[in-house]
Amino acid sequence: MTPQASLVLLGSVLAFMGLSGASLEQVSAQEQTHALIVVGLGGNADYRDRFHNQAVALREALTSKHGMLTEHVTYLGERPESAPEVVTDKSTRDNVLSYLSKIAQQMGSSDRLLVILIGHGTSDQAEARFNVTGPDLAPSDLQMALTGFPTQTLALVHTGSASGGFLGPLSGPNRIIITATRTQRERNATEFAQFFVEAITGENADLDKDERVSLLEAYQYAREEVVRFYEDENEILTEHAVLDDNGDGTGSEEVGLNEPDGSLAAGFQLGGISVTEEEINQNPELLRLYEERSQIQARITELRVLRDAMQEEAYMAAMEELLVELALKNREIRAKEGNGL
Amino acid sequence: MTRYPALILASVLTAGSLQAQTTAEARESLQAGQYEDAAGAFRAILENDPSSYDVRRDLIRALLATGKYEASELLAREAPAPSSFANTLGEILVLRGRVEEAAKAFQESIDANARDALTAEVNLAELLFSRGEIDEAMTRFDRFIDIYNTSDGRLSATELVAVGRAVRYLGRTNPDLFQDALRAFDEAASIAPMWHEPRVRAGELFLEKYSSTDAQSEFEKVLGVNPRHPGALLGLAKALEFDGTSDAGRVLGQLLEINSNHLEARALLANQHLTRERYQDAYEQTEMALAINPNSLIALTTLAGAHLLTGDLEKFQEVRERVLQLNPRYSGLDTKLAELAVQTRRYGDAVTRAEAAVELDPYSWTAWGLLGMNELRLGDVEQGRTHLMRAFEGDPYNPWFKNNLDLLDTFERFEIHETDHFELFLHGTESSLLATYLAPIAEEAYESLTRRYGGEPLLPVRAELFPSHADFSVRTLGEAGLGALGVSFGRVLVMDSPGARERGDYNWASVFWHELAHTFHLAISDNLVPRWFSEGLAVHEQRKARQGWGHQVTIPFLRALAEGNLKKVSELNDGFMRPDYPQQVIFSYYQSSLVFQVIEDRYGFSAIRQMLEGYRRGETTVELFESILGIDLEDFDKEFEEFLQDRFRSPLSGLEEMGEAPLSGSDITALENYANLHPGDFIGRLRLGAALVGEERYTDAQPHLQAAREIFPDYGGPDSPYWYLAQAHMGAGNLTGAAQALSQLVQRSESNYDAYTMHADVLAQLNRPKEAADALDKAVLVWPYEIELHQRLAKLHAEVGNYPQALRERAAVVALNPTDKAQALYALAIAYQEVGDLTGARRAVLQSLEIAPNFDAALELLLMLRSGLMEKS
Repeated sequence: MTPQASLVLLGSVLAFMGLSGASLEQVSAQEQTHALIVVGLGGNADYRDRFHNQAVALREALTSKHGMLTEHVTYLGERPESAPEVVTDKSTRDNVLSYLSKIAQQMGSSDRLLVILIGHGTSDQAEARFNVTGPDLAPSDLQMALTGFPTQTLALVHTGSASGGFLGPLSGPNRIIITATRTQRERNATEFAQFFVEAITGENADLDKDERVSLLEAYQYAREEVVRFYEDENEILTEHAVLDDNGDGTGSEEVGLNEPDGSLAAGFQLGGISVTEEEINQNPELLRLYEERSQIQARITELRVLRDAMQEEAYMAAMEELLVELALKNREIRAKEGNGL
Repeated sequence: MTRYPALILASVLTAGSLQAQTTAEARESLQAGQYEDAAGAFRAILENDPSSYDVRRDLIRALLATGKYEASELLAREAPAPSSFANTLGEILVLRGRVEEAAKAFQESIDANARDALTAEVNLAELLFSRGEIDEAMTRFDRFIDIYNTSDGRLSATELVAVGRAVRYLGRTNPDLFQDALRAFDEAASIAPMWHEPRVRAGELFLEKYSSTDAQSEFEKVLGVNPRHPGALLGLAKALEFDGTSDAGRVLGQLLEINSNHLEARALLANQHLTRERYQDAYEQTEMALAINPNSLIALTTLAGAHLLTGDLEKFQEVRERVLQLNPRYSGLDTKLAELAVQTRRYGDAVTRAEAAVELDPYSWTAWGLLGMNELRLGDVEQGRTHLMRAFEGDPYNPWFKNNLDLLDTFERFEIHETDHFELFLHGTESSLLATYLAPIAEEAYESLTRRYGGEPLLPVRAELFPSHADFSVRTLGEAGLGALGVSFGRVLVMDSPGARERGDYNWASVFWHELAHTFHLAISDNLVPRWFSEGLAVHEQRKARQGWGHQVTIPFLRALAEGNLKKVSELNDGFMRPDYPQQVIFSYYQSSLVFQVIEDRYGFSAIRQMLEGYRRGETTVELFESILGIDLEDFDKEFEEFLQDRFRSPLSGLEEMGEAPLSGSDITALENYANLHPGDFIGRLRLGAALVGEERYTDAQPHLQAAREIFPDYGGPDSPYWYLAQAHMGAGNLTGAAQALSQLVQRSESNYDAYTMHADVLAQLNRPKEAADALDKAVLVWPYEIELHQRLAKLHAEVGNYPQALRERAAVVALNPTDKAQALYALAIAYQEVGDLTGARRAVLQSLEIAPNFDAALELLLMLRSGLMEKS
């Protein structure tokens, strides 16, 4: 299979992360993304259906919308027999660890792994738990299993209650840990999963309009929508999602490129497949245009860094000129791609 | 014969032991509050033994408790050793206002080193303080510190109470000393557990330092032993008044039954009457108080208050001068009157009185606080803050000062939006959103009210909206717990922002209109309009502004009408200020609004305006009904009652007890049987209709709901027949019928958010986008925080070519800080473009692109806008 690449992605990642010297090869290496979706015990029919539907929607979006290979997406569910066409196996603790081990063997050294836990968590014991059939899954279990991914970028999203207890133990270099709760003491059932799934499956989480969704955007979207949900329901916010991607074991609520956490998650992009690397290599003119656009985007990033030091008017004028340049470059690219307006 | 001496001896012994027994019983009676029994017994004993100090003292106590001051004085003067009762005599003379004689009596006690000389010392110092000889008094109080410190724990309970009283005065310059005063009272109470004065003094001190709960605990301990203790009853009444409960009057009634000459009780009662705008009753109580002590500062203060509030400024000044002759540094009158002015909504007067108080006594922390708080109410924030800080430095126990200062610290997070006539003070998190909707409503209300009332209030009107109800409450009262939604201080009005309440709780635009109406009433009447008049008129104005706004008729209101539980018009002020039951306040809002509907219909609006002007001249409601409406108020009472009966004849008959309607949720058959038996029963038909809707028997439901509607067509509550009819019509596929029912419902309810949005849905389905947009516009006035609602509204307005409104809605979406802000700004840019504002469009699209530089559609729009702008230029 041809690695799925996005030159739009390349441009925006380089621009926003300041990696203008990064090579195409480095970016394409990230395209080998694997996903493990684990749905825990629902506890009742409502939650069981809700969690399953969320997992199915995720699986569908990751493959159809974001271009991941079907064989790279594994869904472990509470009742695999009820939907064998989509659920790979039962979500027991042993199966989770076993599938992680299998995925580790399949993955290249610079591939990426996305693990998403959907279900309920508990923390009545010393260690937080994710409730699955049989023995629960604990952070210490995953700690062991994740040693099988020494070089890969790894993202773990725990959408359930008490998930904050997973963050500290699993934090580390090259790891993005997103939890629905700040600590394991936030034990009420969470709403985070539905909005995180919405971010991956829908169109609204592409906040920078680069036609793909980063984990940073998905997290920001889900977190803000959770807050809005509780406000609309006039309820006290009982879950405070956090993200840690600098390996310090401390999750941040507010994240971004200029914050302690957020940079690695910004680079973990999903989607944006329009042109393959192969096609690009066959069209040097298009490659030149992409590179020129990347340069404009890099200048925009540089200008944004200077924002606080500039007069508003001068800043906006400079920004406008760059944006016009970018808009015109996009027109050129679209014309060359055959998508001209 | 030889047996005689033995017999005599026996009889003497018997008499002695009997006397001892009687004394003990009398004392028990005294401690239990059976003052008459105790007095009778003590008097009998004293006749046999006039030299007994304790019996005389206790007899005087029993007599004082029941207000027999002359008899008490006589007993004190007749004591075999007069100096031993000189202090007691002085205390009695103080009660009667004979302070010169009292001072001499206290001095005599001190000179004779009587057993209660220390009490005489503190009494004398207090007397000096009450005459304005503050420095001398403070020097005397100061000595008590040394007395306590050198006593080595040997002070008696009475001496400890004297120390506590002295130290309490010292607390005015050193607030830490209040704790020492309390300790002294506690020590005294532990030494003499059956003597109640220490506990009563401790209770008073707690109350003075705003701890009503602790105060009541002390008073109740005393009342547990002696339920008729005058000091404890007075303290409890004050504490209940402090809490704002209606029980204070009951306790004062008990106290006055025990002692009808209790001056403080009379003064407190008079004060209650003043706050409830019952001036004649206040005068009567004040007269009775002054008959007891014509020089009483607190009674004279009440008299001055009555003159001030009734507008008799000449007499007010006369009384104030008399008070200042008695005590040239007495700030209590002006402080109390500042409080009274606040309670009767005369905030300017409150400032004037508080300024006068601090001029007389710069240590009057309460007055500094009142000054600051009322300056804030009048919109002078900086001056208010300065004075509040000064008050808080002197009285760090005061929670209102602290709460207000804490609130002021948050003001930096608010923004001011200026319009032609308003300063809209809005929290930064919602200022852009609220200003968008509030500014036009505010200006519309201003224009409408100016046209009706023909005058202007002080400008600009400052409207403060607080997203936290507790903050609104603190801004209004200084503490949390206010039940209201908004308050007008005149030029300043404050209210909950919509976010302070739950969705559907209220219509913020309607409340704003109501409060602004008060602003006009206060300005025209110079703040002299009675509460019932202004509240009723403000609700009337709401209804004039929009159909469905303001209080509406409810089933409980009609039940109160049927049962005769509404106030007459002549007593409507009591419905607000002294309600017989909590709901009466709500009923009074609606009822008084109907009074103005009647007046405007029969006499024209100019009559209402003239009445407001009449209040400004100090005329009473009775006088104004006669002079302007040409009707005796009692006759109007009757006419209005007839109006109500006529107006609600149909629903009243539909609410009559015809039988016991099965409860909601009952079996359909039971409901049907009842409805068949009592077809005119509103509740029965409504419940049956609702139950049938619940079972999706929409066609069956309609006749019952229609019947209920016919019986009580004005009912627009959440369970109104219109609500169920709308569902029945929708269930039956009759969208036009549903739209009609919902339209009728929202004309009778201002805050039914679900009805507005459902109405919009139905109208949109009927392809009536303009009306759908109108319905959603009304929903925004209930709850403006839903992004989806603004998005829908933007589309609807754009669909019918209302581009400016579409632009407003797109701006609202941006103001709500949506997660996808780039998209929202892009949509805003399009909306700007549609109204032809290319500069605004360019600004918005640049903001969008700053967030999302790769946003293709926005980049294209930017190019298009630039070319458009270039062409234009």
